[in-house]
Amino acid sequence: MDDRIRRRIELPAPAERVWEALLRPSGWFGAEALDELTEGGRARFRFPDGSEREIVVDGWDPHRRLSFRWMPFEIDSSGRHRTRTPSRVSIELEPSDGGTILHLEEVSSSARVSA
Amino acid sequence: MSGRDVGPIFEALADATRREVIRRIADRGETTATEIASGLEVTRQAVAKHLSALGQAGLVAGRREGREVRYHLTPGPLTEAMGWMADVGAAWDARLEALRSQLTDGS
Repeated sequence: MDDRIRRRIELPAPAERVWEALLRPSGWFGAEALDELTEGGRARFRFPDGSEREIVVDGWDPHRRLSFRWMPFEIDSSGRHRTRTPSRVSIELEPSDGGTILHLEEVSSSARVSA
Repeated sequence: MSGRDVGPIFEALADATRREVIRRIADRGETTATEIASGLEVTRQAVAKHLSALGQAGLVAGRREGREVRYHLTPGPLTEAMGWMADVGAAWDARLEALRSQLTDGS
């Protein structure tokens, strides 16, 4: 079954500044980005508990859309590989009077086998 | 879930409509009984009763905004019981708030 969450928030900055902040997530993401986010690239994140997890950036439309997939494993705080639910995150930026509306969706694909 | 009485939680989740109510709250982050009811084939009154049961089980909490009460999931028991949606929703709530703070500070 696919589970999905959606969120929407208005940010007090133009889309260009929001985009820059998306590509430099260490300050707000709750994890340190060990690699730069690039189009089609992989980036590792280190979480406060010492675990690490990787994304692949698969959608890139500067100032408008960024999407990435979480890989279905992590390296936990003791260095062991563990499986994690794979999921895809899509972020869209929409200019608004107050700045930018950020639309976010994360979809898990834990139990589905694609046809 | 050591130290917590899980009986009321699983009883609250045993009802398929209540699980759907939880999914809708998780999907939106925060929502009202009216919004939940509009997507389901149950009355707003029925949704309000489900929300009351979920509140008593410690799974949701509401805050009054004007004439409405807006409900959100409370972490802890739901994280163990429903897992992914609560975890990921809570993570993004924190991230987006931090992002807004960062952009408000002008950094």
